[in-house]
Amino acid sequence: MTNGDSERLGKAAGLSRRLLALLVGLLAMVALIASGAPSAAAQTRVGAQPQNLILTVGPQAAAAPEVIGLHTVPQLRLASATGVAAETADVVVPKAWNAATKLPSGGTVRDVGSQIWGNGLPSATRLSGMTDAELRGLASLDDAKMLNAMYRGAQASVPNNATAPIRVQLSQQVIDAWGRK
Amino acid sequence: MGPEVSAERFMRIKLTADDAAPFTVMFEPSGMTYQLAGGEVMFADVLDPFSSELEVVNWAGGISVWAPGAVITRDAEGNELDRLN
Repeated sequence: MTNGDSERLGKAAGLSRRLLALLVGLLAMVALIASGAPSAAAQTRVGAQPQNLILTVGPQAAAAPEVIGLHTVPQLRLASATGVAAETADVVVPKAWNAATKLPSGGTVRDVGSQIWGNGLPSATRLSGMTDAELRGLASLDDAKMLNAMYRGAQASVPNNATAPIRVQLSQQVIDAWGRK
Repeated sequence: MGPEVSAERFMRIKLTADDAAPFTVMFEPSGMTYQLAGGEVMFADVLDPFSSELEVVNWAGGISVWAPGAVITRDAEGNELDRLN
């Protein structure tokens, strides 16, 4: 064995030791995370395990559920109560909006929104390749701003809502198209 | 019988995936999605419905539920999952 060989072997051994130390460290981190994992009840919560766009309902069987002791229905968090106005100062989001809520143009959230993101799971690339004129044809500037603010609020109030950020993004593309006019 | 809710007027929707037919449920207009595996169940309570009409839109792999009001989603045991709109 030459001196060069010995040196290379020594370097390889050193690298192996460093990799082993890294592996031990990673295992220790995994153990720490596992010890701080949420309770079984918490893990059944939908949204605890994001799967791309879709959240998974827990492992409950289809058996008839037991009656539970829920006696009151507290006030809902409203999308408008999430600081939306701060981001889009010229848009006032209705306090409680729904599918039938009218947008500035007179169209509803449902009708105008569907034009932008369609039905089904929205795709972030849905509007790719559209011209500015085509994008502007999907919604008026004011409607797009309102929808953008609404879904920013939805995103903030229900962080597990994986489609809201995509809707924010798509409506922003329409807003940007108006801005380039 | 599903989970019990009192105090306010509400409409309960029970959503069930057949054993061999998992699907995605998306609640509109919020866009919140849940995936039900085969045989799984979830509930959606529509609070104080503003109309008597409920619309379901079918698309490849799932459905969209346009509920006439704010929704509380629940798992099969009635545990609250999310409050939508």
